[in-house]
Amino acid sequence: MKKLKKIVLALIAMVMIAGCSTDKPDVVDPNVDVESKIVVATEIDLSTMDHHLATDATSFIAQTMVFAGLVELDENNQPQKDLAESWDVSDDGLVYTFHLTDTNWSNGTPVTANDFVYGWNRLIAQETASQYSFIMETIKVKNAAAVTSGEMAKEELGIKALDDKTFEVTLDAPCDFLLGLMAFPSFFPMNEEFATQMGDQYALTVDNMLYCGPYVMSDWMSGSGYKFTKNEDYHNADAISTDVVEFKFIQDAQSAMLEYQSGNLDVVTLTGQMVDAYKEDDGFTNRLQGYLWYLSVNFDDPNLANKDLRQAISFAVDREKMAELVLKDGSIAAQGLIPVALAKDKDGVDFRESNGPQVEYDPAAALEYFSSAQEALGDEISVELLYEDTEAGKSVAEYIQNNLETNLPGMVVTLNSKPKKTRLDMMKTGDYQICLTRWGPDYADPQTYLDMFLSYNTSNNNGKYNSPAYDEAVLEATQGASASDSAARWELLKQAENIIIQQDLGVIPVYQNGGAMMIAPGITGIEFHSAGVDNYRNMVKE
Amino acid sequence: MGKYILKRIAIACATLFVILFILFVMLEFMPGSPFNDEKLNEAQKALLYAKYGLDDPFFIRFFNYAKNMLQGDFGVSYVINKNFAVSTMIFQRLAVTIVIGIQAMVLGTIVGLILGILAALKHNTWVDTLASIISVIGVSVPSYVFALGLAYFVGFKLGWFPITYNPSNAAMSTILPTIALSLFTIANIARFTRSEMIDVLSSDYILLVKSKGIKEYKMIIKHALRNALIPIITVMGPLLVGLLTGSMVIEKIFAIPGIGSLMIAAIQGNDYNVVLSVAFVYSAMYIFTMLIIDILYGVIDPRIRVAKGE
Repeated sequence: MKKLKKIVLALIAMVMIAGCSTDKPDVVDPNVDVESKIVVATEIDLSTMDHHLATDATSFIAQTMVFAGLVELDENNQPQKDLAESWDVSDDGLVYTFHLTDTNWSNGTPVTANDFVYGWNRLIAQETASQYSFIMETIKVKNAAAVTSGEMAKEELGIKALDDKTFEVTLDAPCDFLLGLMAFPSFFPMNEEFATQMGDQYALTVDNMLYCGPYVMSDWMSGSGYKFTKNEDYHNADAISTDVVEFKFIQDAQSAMLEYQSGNLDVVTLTGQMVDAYKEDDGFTNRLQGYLWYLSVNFDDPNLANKDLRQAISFAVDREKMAELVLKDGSIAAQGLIPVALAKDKDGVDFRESNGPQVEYDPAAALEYFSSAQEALGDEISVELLYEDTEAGKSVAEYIQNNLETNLPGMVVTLNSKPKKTRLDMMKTGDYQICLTRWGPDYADPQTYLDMFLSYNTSNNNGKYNSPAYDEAVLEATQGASASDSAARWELLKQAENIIIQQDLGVIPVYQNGGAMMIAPGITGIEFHSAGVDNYRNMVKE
Repeated sequence: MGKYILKRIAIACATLFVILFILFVMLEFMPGSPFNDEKLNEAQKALLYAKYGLDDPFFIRFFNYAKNMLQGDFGVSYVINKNFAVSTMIFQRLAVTIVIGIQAMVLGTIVGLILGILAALKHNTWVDTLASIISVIGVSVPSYVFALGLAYFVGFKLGWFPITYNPSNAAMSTILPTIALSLFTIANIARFTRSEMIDVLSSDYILLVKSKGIKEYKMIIKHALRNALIPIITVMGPLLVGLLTGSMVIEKIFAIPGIGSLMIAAIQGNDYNVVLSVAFVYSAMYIFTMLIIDILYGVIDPRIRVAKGE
């Protein structure tokens, strides 16, 4: 009996311990009622606050909250001044001079041109091993390629602090989209003294960062969420009207939606399946993203090397219906390689509009091309479609399979689902026939898509598409004499898209990502950008 | 007893080392890599591999890792929280998972025992039937269905408890997941208790106890339940580990920053060190729980203690 008592006591003790350890007093911020606060749900946890190591949208959004760049993008994707109060561009378009505004880091030291020099050098330093180091080369900063690969010393990079408040960038060739990219976190400044002092602990906690943006990070709990509090020292603090912005990490969209309906969350992302239930509600928002999903075809595969087959596949997929019936989240049918609303020419005409639709649904034409393909390849043609094991990936893959097998009698499509990282591995080693894959734009210019399929681009041209005419058009547009002539450059980019999509079917565009969200009525000021980082800095709650 | 425990601990450590090795080998064969992204080119990939020592030969990496682990260094995360020490990530989250797991275990055991005892005492009455129905539901309905129901009705409709985890109100936040998790335990414990109790209650010595006129509650607690408990404790071990490791879906639904949700994210992101460490911690928990159960046997049943050579 004594022992039984002990056991019972032990059990009671366990209950009490379990109770105690969670029995923290409720921490209620006394100011919460008077402060304005917006709570945003994120379905991906914050990976890093080091803006040179970030690769995902969640991290980039958090970084734009607390840090700042030379410019920020307005709701029309146009660069507006931020840390730079003005800038001059030389007549040949090769030298940008930024004049910095007077503002301080959160430890009181001023933000100087040297912070940009240090930040930009750190981005491409080998020790940093940043996955975004390529972007320095993208904006054509002088000697960027050689410095990034370590062939040249970092002093050779075309950037200079003329004085504390003047930052000069020299380019190898003019770059139309440079200013817009200055709003991208990779190009944000970093305080050298502080970062060096923190070493490998930099940005791992809220105290290990210096802030220069509209907010400071006041709380960060891995796996749970993070919180931003208004930075009164930000140079444009008067324009910021929300005191606290909290991001809560909730993986399950259903649970997030329940919290939204309970009034505990203000901004929530919906999955495609949830759209029907809420699309009539106040606050339902459909946004278009810059992500393009396309079928990468492997030219090393004898079946897919056949152009008639590729043409048949492209004609046989009903992209409109797919977006409307399967995806439902505001996604739209792809019309070409360049997404809608990514880039405009000098007259403000969208690239997509000016180059017209490059792909369409035409089952009759599909059948015709398929017969030609059958003559070359035999009556039964089988291909394997590789895709990643997400909800949307699965439904799109199954829809394509159904389209192809119905519209092209004799075609057998097998599905192969793999986790994303494995899918990418298989693509890089050429171990696939067709793969449903995507590309997110790094900047608002068609080049971000067209560069991928240059014959020598071993990183992205997984299908080994090889067209000298295409290479020539893209290179002429980006590096040749036309690079500095906007109109001529635009024509070449259009021509390049025609070659790879309409003429060669080097890849087969499928759809452009949408995103359905619930934004509580009364909340305004969230700016979505098809290229670059969505802006949550200027949110207003009525 | 002391010697026996020491021996068991030694075996446990050896087992853990072997498990670590097997995990390492399995990760080696796992397709993909933590540094795999549309945007990443080969030169950058090589830089990253070099930075984190992933380009070293297999055995060197293994022994480095094992050596660091002994010093409490589980490496850093490559994906989920870049460059965070994995030990800190796990430590923070393990606490939440363990609190919820133990709460669910305690709740499940108490409710399960009561249900089981009632069912056995009122054998073949409506009480018994009701307890059986609850057991069948508990075993057959997956815990996430129950969790979604709780989140919707109790959390959303009634608004009694937070739906998702709120660090500033942690205690209340654990209530719904605890209930959701405990259902399976309730059902299992109730079933075992019922059948064991029925067995024991029909045995000769209970007849003797009854004939001696001992009060009923004393008879149940001292004579019947004690003997019925041994097989129940056997199932409690795996149940507890099941609660600690099997809470992944529950953690996802209630947005609990626990170790289960960490494991899912780590596997999806090929975050090597995190996968390795969480799997290792799971194994350690399992082995540790089994050890405790073995020791508990000895406390409850002297025959086992004797047989094990004390």
